[in-house]
Amino acid sequence: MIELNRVSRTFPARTGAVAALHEIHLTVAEGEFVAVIGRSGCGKSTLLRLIAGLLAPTSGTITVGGRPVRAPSREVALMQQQPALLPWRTALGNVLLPVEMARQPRAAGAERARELLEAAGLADFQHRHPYELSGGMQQRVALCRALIQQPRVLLMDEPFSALDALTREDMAAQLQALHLARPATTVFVTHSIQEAVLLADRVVVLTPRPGRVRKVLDVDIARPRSLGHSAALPAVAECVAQLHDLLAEA
Amino acid sequence: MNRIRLSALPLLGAVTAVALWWSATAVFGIRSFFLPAPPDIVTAFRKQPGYLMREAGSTVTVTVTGFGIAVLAGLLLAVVLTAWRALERATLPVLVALNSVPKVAVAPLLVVWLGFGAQPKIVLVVLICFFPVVVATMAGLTSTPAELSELSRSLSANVWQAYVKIRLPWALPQMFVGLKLAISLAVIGAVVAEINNPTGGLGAVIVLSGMSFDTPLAFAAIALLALLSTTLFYLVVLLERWLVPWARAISG
Repeated sequence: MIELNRVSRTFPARTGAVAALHEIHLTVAEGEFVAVIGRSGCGKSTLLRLIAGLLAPTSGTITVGGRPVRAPSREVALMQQQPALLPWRTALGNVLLPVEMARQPRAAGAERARELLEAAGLADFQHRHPYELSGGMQQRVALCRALIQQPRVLLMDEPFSALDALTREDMAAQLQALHLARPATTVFVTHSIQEAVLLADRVVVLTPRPGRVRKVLDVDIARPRSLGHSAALPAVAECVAQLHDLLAEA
Repeated sequence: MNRIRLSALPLLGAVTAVALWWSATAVFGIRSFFLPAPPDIVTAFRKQPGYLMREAGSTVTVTVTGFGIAVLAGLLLAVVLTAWRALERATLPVLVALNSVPKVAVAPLLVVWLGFGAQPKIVLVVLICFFPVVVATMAGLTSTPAELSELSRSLSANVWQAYVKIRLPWALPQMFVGLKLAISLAVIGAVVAEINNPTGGLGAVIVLSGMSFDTPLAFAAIALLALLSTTLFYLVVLLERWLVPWARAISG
């Protein structure tokens, strides 16, 4: 579904060019959930923006669904670190924004938006404005907005990093349920090992400056997973320990 | 209790100010010709309410027309300048230079160019309140948060959609800072034009009453101007609360 072939990206800086990513090879299969983990400044966000078509690679090729990425596409949805909700729109209005941008009929969109908000536990909050919602609720609205166009690819850039620990766990659990119900090809950038192990089929570990693929780890743990009991499973402990070591060396 | 105090305190301040003024004219025996006492002004108003209201209406028309044109033109120019950075670099210095010309100095020229009707007055109002509208709107349009710009790009929004759905609504709170400045300037512009070209309006009333040494009438006109300016200002505030109720909530 997603293929990156020797993708590099450098950014101009005062002291010459800074390499953010160096010769990344990565293939993500249809419906697969891939987590990308690494220290800050390893180019994780750059990687997502390249796949989203918001940035162009300095060299190498990226294809999504077999087509080279040249510009943002409606089949690819990006969920950012901040909820990035429009403060003058209600939760429902915010979820409908992609529908309006695509000039699609509002009525059908509104139906889908209500279903999504209900599934996210926000049925009673659809007419509230973002400033009336908690941080976790705002991020759930942002998730609904990312899902409204039924994207084939979902890109998530540390979407839960601004939330408190308990809300994070709730959100991760909800995301897992959602992915099991309707698997979309997902690339999930995080710096939380627990989140990566909970959610991903495979975890890509990046080295910092420039970002290279250090290792791709398969997570062979039965779903649904949880941060409760399954955290004590030997397979989970093994996986977490391995990721810790890889990140420590990186 | 708190609410009562909130509305009572400004009233108390106003009443005290008027009382001080009144007692000063009485205690020091100031003649009405120099500084009329509040009742003299009320009498002056009651002598010819129709005339004063008609001239006030004329000032309001000039002010609101000029303000409306300045807001529309300013909004349009701000959008064009922020969408096209090369044009901004080419024209903004010229705009700043033009704005630094004292508008009062232009008033007689406008009469030469446009005659004695309402036109030169409206043009002066436009000139005086155009700049704050442009500057404030541009500031708002260029302050779109990075994550919203990125959202707009990732949704493949075209330039029109990006402006209408994201950048302009986001700019509204800052635009209103400019509008509140501009509406007060608009009244000043109208009065300056009327004093320069006293064919009508409260500015003309002040000029004519000065010629006939009718100080209470001049004060009645000034009081009406203050009332008018304040009312227009709070109308803009009301419009702001109606259009951007979210701004107060997120800046809490």
